[in-house]
Amino acid sequence: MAHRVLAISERFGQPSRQELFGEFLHEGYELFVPESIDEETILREAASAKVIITGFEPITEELIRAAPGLCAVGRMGTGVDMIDIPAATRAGIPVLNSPGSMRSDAIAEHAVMFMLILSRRPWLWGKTAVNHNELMGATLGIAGLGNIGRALAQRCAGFGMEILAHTRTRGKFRPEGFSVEETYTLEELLPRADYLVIALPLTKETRGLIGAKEFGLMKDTAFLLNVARGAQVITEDLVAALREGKLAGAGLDVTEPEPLPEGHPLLDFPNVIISPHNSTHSEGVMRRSCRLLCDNIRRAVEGERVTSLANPEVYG
Amino acid sequence: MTYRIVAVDPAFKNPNRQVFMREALSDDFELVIPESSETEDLLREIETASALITGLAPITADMMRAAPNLCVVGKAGTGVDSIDVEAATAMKIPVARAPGWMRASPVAEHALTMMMLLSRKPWLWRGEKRPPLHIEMAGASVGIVGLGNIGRRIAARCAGFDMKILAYTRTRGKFRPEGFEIEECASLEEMLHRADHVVLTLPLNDETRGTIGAEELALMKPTAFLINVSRGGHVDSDALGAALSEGRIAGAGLDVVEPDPLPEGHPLLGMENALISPHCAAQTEGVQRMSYKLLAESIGLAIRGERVESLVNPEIYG
Repeated sequence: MAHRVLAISERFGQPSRQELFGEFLHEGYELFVPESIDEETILREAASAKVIITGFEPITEELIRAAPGLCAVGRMGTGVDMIDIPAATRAGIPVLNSPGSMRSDAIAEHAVMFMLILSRRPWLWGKTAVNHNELMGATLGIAGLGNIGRALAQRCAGFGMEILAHTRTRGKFRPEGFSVEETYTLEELLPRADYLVIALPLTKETRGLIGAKEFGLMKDTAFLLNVARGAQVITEDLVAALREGKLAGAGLDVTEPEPLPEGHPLLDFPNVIISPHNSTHSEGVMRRSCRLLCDNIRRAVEGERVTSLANPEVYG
Repeated sequence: MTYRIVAVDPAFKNPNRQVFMREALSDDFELVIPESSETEDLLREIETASALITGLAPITADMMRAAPNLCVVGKAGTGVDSIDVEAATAMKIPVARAPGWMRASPVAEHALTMMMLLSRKPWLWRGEKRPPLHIEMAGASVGIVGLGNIGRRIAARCAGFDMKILAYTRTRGKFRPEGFEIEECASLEEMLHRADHVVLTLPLNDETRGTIGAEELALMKPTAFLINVSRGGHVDSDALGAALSEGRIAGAGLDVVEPDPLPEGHPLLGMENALISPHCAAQTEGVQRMSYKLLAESIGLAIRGERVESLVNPEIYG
């Protein structure tokens, strides 16, 4: 009998995903997407699962416990905030993900595109020429200087932007051919940035990172770009800042809640661009991430050490 | 007395186009925007003009001859294909313009905007269907036609995206990029075969008119995009419309088209993979203000009989 990989996210039922996993899952493994993704069903199906994978649906301690034959949990993406990692580690189970470097270029590209769209407003192109904002000479502020932040800094340096960044672990990034000014605090960065990009993992510390106080510190002419996780921005404070003209616009690949319900005020602002959490949805990234996940699923089930995981401590 | 500056391009009727010129002119200048663009009416307005300015509308030898007091012609932009420079030179009239470097970076940003929009198709994000997968810039190749002020700035930006950079220019080997590499192709044909994004950034003249026609489009990859931030006359619009509707190339981003505007019902209009912007690539506040200030200064110099610094035809000063 084939090893069952239980997918607890509807997206794995899409033909394109099925095709992708059909190509990269090893022989003897099957992708199983339940008819309905309710708690009762997935807890029942977990009983026979060797591996559980998700999109954004939580993998809880209860779910891990419900799967006695479990060898791994994971996802194609990098951020694993929806997985109870301590619980997985306690159960001795690796949490599979993609290394940030595999997906960061695509996310950085998405962020630059948001910046260009908000600056050049293509929705007004049909009418008469309106003035654009220029990236050259403008200041980029990046919250987080990991793979995404660094890739973004490199791209924006090419545009002749000033680059500021705030990260907890200062001084670790040595850019080549351009410079990044690391600020001591986020508060110091906010009033200077024309474009603020959030490029951080979602953790207890980063949840609600940008709210009323932070919008108050930012320029009225600044743009907010979020390519990380929706919960890092307090949505109602964002709406208030936009209504009060304390912010020039926003580009959001992620929102809280996600997707936004119909009629949500964020959907009505002409200066808010929302993409359906698809910054990494390029063929290259999808294929590389899926292949890595499938290879590591095989390794985990066969008792080998996996090559990319969020909890290396599981190997002691 | 006030000196009359006649704007022969009807685009100046748009207040957005006038504001920076008005701001830069002192009280003894009057900016005249003719009601009618009919040749006869224009020629009448021109009679008392000390300066003629334009955007894309032509300033012809006839117009210059019609203005006995004419001291200068010019534009806030860089490309002067709309002005009969030869005739101006023969009449010892300076053709004032903005130097290429002054306007190049917003044009480069516009080219990148077009490349990214075509690669990620934001207009499909809110549709019923699942949006298609993106095309990544990283690892893709850009082929830049012309490697002047704009082409070099596009190259620097594309290098930041880790793209492969190809270029074709008549004068090879003149640009030495710092920190990245450009492969200059021996022929346009070779570059068209290889580029995922073909970007046109060259002045319009007799040699470059029609650079991209049916034959060149046929050499491009079916997955390739064509970006034009120069002049509409570089591209055969009908051949491009046909190539796009038959799927022989994947998309186009055009800041300029010929004819401008395209006639109603032209295949390029309303096509999902043809982005058209209203010749606004350099339309940023800073650049417009700087360009018009320079143009106003040049007009002032010429009227006072002093030497214009930023002009196309310095040979008039012997």
